[in-house]
Amino acid sequence: MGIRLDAISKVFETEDLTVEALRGVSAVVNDNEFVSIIGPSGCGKSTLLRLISGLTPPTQGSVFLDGVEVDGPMGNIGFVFQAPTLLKWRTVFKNVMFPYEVLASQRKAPAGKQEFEERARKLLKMAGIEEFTDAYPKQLSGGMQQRVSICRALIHDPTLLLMDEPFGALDEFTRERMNEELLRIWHETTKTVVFVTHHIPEAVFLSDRVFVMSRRPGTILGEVTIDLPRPRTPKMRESVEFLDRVVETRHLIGLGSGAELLSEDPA
Amino acid sequence: MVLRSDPALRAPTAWLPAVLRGLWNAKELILTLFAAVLVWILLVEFGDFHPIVLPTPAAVVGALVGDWSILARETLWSFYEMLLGFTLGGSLGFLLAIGIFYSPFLHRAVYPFVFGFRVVPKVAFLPLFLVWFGIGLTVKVVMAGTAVFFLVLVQTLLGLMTVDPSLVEFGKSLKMKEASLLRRIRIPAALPAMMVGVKMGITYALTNVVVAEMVVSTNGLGFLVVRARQQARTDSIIAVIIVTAVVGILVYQLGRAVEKRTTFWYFEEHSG
Amino acid sequence: MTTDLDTAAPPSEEPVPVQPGRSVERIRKFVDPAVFAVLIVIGWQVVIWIFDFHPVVLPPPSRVWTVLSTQGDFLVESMLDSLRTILWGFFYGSLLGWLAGVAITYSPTVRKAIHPILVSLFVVPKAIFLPLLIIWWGVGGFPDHKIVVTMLLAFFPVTENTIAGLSGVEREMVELSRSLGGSSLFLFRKIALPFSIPFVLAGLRIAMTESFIGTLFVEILVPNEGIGSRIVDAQDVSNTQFIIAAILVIAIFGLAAYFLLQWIERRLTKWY
Repeated sequence: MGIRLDAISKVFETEDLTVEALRGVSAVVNDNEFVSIIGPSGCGKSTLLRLISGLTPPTQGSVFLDGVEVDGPMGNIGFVFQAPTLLKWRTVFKNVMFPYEVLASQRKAPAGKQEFEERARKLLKMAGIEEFTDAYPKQLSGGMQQRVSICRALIHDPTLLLMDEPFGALDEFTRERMNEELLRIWHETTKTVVFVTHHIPEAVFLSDRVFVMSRRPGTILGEVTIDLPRPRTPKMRESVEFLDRVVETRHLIGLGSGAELLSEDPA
Repeated sequence: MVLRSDPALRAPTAWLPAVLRGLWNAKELILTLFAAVLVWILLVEFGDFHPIVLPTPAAVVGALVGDWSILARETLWSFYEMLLGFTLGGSLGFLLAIGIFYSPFLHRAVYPFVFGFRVVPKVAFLPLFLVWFGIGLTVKVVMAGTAVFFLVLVQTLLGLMTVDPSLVEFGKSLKMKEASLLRRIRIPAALPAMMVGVKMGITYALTNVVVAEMVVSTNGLGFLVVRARQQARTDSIIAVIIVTAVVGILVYQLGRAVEKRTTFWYFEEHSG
Repeated sequence: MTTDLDTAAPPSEEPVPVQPGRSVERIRKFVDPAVFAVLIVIGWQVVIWIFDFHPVVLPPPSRVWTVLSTQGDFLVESMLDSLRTILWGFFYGSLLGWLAGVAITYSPTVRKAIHPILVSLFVVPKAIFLPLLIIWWGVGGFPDHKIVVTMLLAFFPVTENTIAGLSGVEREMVELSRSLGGSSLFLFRKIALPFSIPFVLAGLRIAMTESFIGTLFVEILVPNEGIGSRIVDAQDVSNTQFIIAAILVIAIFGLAAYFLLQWIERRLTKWY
């Protein structure tokens, strides 16, 4: 699924204050592309994801998915949140099956129940948590819970996967392993992924392109094309090319080697 | 004779120490209860009290055994009234909570009054309810229902308002309609808070039923205690108190069992 | 076990800087309940016109207003009579409850011997004890039977919350104090006690509501003085408007007591 963001601005108004979260954001994400959005905390990265998913409307500008303007949740999107957001009253398996139940209740399920159950088992196995199929979320560690929620986001085979700092709460080792697993799943089920993070090596390792955002109000400072070969391997993290991309991204953010914060339009 | 498949016969060594250990762990409690009965016996023996003031433990046991059929019947009455009131008050409280949740006007306009009347002792309404509903079953059901109503309403609303917003966002990202969102996400997520209301509500319902029975005095445990008082049968009073205490504890345990059954997935958070 | 109920208070009304244009929300917060109150009064009157209720069953709002305006002094005087009982019961009950809480927290023997009994009594309808209490304690004197029942109800929430507060101190804090050579008394005074204050205050708020329940219950069941007894008098002469007026007065005093305690709580627990 292709995404086009057309001069998007977003302003939040609460009782006490007005916050300009995004200002004039334009970007294009190609079909089957893996894109990361990186930037400092509170730069509107998460807001951008919510705009793409249709959960919140932009104040100005428009979002197009495959050329159709978004005006509400589309349903064929997988969303992975910062926290696992599992339904604690359901077993792991029933959590993964939840999107099917919702689609079935709307008579929009693309396949039968059995087919979905088979998919669910396959996904859980792929994520390495098949022995916890009948466990409740509270019995799982944070990392395993997040894997369940990724399986859940993939069960209805969405053409677009939106991930909001999904590995932010994990330790470094688990994070790297999850990165590799995510890429493996992505290779097996080609789809567009928009991945929000504030972890530079993670963004570089996963993505085809990395968008760098500025502090509030969030604008796109620039993008780094990651032309490393796929499939990516853990060994690549140590390569000069990888580190070059990391440094390039750091500079774009304004970190490292004393670089000034770059102007709004680095091009 | 089948010996090997019967666990009770096969493993007396397994349960006997467990029971003994349980008794040993509760030794302080057992001693306290034992001391209380001992003091009671000594008071009766050497205190020269009139039986109206202090009956012997034997007399109380006698009243418990002698009146067991009446006690059982009236206990069932109280329980029946409590369940009716609980169902009625609980459902109304639940429905109004959902109404208040979805309507900002109701929330602003009605909630302050709900909150205000929560602080008023429900027993103050009893004379008014007697005028409206007479001295039959209704007034007791209404008294029980009133207690449950406020508790379930407040706890359900609390639960609905504190549902993790990202769960709701997740639902919306699947394009769920509000009715489906309420049924599949909001209400299950609000269940732990609701169940606190249910657990406390069922106990309050029993209290209010007993209070109403003591005033209306036609049946139930409250009626029995008032009648025993009129007959100056203190042994019966204590017997009714013991039965009521047991019923109270059982009802609370029932509430807890329901809570555990419905929200077992919520407790004992695992830390990753 | 009781604190979770009290988190059910409405969203905190912290002072928020007023923003021009957004004040509509804040005005509606006061206007909507008023609108609702007016709607109720109108609906009440309309119901009487349509169904032609006898004033004994449902007196028109005007009659209730007449009672409030002509007998207001009498109502408030009776309420103050009740309030004296409520406050004494609240005071003694909370004090004993706090002491019991401290003893149970710090003495394993006391905990094992008494806590299970207290927890059980907490869920028993305490109204059932009244007849026995009157036989043993008699009516009148000081503290009279009403104060004793009120004490009984005020006791439990304070005990439970004191235990929760005192035993909730983080182990790190205890270890820190011990590593600095602090004595047990020092630990209690400087760490556990301040830490438990918010819990105890929340318990006191519940105890106040329970005290109202206790006093009103005895006044209605064994009428002599106080507003509960005046309600029973009114019921005897079918003076329904007086009952409704009295309920409103109780509600106002109950809310006042609740908010007073909440205000004290906020003042004392700013750090929490």
